[in-house]
Amino acid sequence: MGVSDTGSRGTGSRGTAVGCTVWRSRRVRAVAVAFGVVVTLTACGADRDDSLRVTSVAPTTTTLAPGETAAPVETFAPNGETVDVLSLDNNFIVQHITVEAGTEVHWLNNGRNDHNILPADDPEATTWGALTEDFAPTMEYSKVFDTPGVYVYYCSIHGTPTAAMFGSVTVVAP
Amino acid sequence: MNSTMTRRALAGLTAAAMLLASCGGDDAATTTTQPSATTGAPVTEPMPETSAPETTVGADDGFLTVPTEFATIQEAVDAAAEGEIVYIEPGTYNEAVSVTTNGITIRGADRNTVVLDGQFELENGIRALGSKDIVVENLTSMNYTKNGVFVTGVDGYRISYVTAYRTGDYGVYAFDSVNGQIDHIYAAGSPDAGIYIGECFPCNAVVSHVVSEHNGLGYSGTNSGGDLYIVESTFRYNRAGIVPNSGSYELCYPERQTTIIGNLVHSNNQGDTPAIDVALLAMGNGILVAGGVDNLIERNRVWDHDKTGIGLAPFPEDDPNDELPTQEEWDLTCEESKQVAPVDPGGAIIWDSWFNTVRDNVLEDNRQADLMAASVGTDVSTLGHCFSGNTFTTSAPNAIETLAPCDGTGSGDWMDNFYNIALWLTETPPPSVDWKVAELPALETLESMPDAATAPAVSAAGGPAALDLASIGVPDKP
Repeated sequence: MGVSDTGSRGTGSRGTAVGCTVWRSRRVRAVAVAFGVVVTLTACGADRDDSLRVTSVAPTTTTLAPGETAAPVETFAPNGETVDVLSLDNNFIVQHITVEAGTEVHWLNNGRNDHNILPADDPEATTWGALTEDFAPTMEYSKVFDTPGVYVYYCSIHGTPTAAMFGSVTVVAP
Repeated sequence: MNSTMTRRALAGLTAAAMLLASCGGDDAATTTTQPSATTGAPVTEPMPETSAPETTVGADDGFLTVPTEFATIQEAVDAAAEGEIVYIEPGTYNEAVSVTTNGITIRGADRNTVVLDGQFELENGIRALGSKDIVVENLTSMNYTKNGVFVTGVDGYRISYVTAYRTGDYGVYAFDSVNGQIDHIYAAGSPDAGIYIGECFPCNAVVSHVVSEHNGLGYSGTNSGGDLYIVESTFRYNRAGIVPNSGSYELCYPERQTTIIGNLVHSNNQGDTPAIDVALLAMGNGILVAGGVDNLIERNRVWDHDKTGIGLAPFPEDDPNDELPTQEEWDLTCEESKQVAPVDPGGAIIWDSWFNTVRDNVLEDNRQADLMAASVGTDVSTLGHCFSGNTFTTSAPNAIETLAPCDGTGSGDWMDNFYNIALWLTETPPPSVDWKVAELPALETLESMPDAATAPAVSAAGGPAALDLASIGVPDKP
C-alpha cells in the first residue's frame, strides 16, 4: 500500500511504504504511525495486528432521531495494543486515528513548544487529557479508550476543536 | 435598521451597561483600563483625549469601535463582517483575542496607547486561526505567556505597526501561514524569536522595517521559505540575530529559499535575555543559517559578534521525528511534503546547510570570523555555498571567497582555518532569564500607522506588497 491509497498526492519517496511503517522512537514503545494518510495495517503482512487501523479520515458523528434511544454503553477491557500520536509543533501526527476499544493511545510531545491535549467537550481535561504543564516537550500522556465513540481533542494553545492543532480518536467495537 | 446596525445598537447598549457596571468595582474576566505603569511594564505616554474615528454608536461605517460600541475586542471581532475594522480606542485590554473570521482588520487607534496586556496569565494577545485575510495593526501586545500576535493556518495576513513586548514564546508568530507581511514591528523579550515565520513553503511573505531585540533569536524561520524576504530591518542585542533553521519537530522541512537583504545586524551576544536551547546554542552570531538551503544573504551590515557575522552551519537534532529529506524533496511544497511518511532515523541527524549565497555584505568585528561555513562530518567544500563581493576581514576557512566564489571555480585549502563548530556544544552560555522579569529597554513612543482613525481597511488577501529589491543598499550604521 502506498500513500496514494487515499487519493492524496502520493509524493512520498522516503522509507517504507506508509501502510507498513513502524515508528519506533527511543522514547516510545513499538507503535504504528503514519502521516496524514489512511493506513490499514491488515494490508501490511502477517506481523501486524489486523485489528489496528489508523486513518486520516475526519470523524463524523451520528445524531439520534427523535424517539430513538441510545444503545447501552459497552466497554471493553484493555487489549494490550498501543497506538502513538506524535505531538509536533504544531500538529498531531496522525491527526485522526481509528482504534478498537481497549487500545491505549499514547501521545508524545516531541516538539519544542508546550502543548496540551484537551477533549473538545471537556476543555478543562477533567475526564481525560493533559494540561499544558503536564505536556511540555518530551512529556507523554496515555489513555486506554475502552468505550466506542468519537473523541475529538485539541491543543488550546495552537488550535481549536475544529482547526489547526486538533485531532480525534475514533473508537470502534472489536 | 439593518442587521449590522441592530447588532451595533445592541452592542452599544451592552457596552454602556458594562461600563456603568464597572463603576461598581466588580471584577470581570476581561477588563479595560487606561494605560499605566505597572511593575515590569513600560511607562506609556499620556493618553490622547480621544482618537476615535468620527462615528456614532450603531453607525454602519465599517468601524466596530471598542469600547464605545463593543465592550471588548473579542465581542467586536465576533461581530465583525468581512471588510470591517475592529477599531480599538486607547486603553489597556486584558484579553486574549481569537479570530476565525475572514477578511477583518483589528486596528488600534494609537500603537502606543492601545495595549493588550496578558498579565502573565493569558496565552496570546491576538490569535488568528485558520482564517483568511487578517490584518492586525497599530497596537501593543505584551505580557502574554505565549505570543503577542499569532497567526496559524492563515492565508493572507498583515501585521503592521505592532509592538510585541515580553512574551513567553514569540513576539510575532506566523505558523503554517502564507501570503503575509510583517512590517514596522518592535519585538522584545521573547525566549524564542521576536519575529518568526515557520512551516510554510512557499511562504510568499515579507518581513520589513522591523526592530527585534533582547530576544532569544531576533528572527527564526523553521522550515520556511520560498518567496520569503527579510529586508530593511534591525536585529540587535538578541542572543543571535537572524536564524533560518531546519528541524523535524515541525513539518515542511528543510528551511530554504529565504532572501535576507539590507538589514542591520549587530551585537547579538546578549546574555541576559530569555532563551530557548537553540538560542543558547546560536548565541554570538549575526546571521546564522542552521541547516538551511539555497538562501540569499546580500547587502547586510553585520558587526560586533562574539562568534560569526554570517555563518552557514549544521544543526544537530538529537531526537528527530524523521529522516533527512532527500534533495529531490526540497522542491516539494509544504502541502506536498506533509503527505510524505516520516521514517524513524534511529538516532540523531545533522541538518547541513547547502547551496547558500553570501555576497555584497559589509562585516566587521565578528570575533571568530566575519564569514563562516562549517559542517560536522561533511566535507564543507561539497556543500555548494558561495561567497563574493563581501567587505570583511576574517573568514573560516580562510580566503573563503577564493575557495567558493559565486562566479567561477574556487581554489585553495578548505582546511586552512577550518571552523570547528562542534566546540559550540561544549560551551556553557549564560542561562536563560525568566521572560517575565528579564531586563528590557523601557518602551519608547513608537511610530504609529498613518491616519488610523480614517484609513480604510486594506485587504491582506493579495499577499505582501511588492518589493524593489534592487533599490535596497547596504544600510548605514545608526
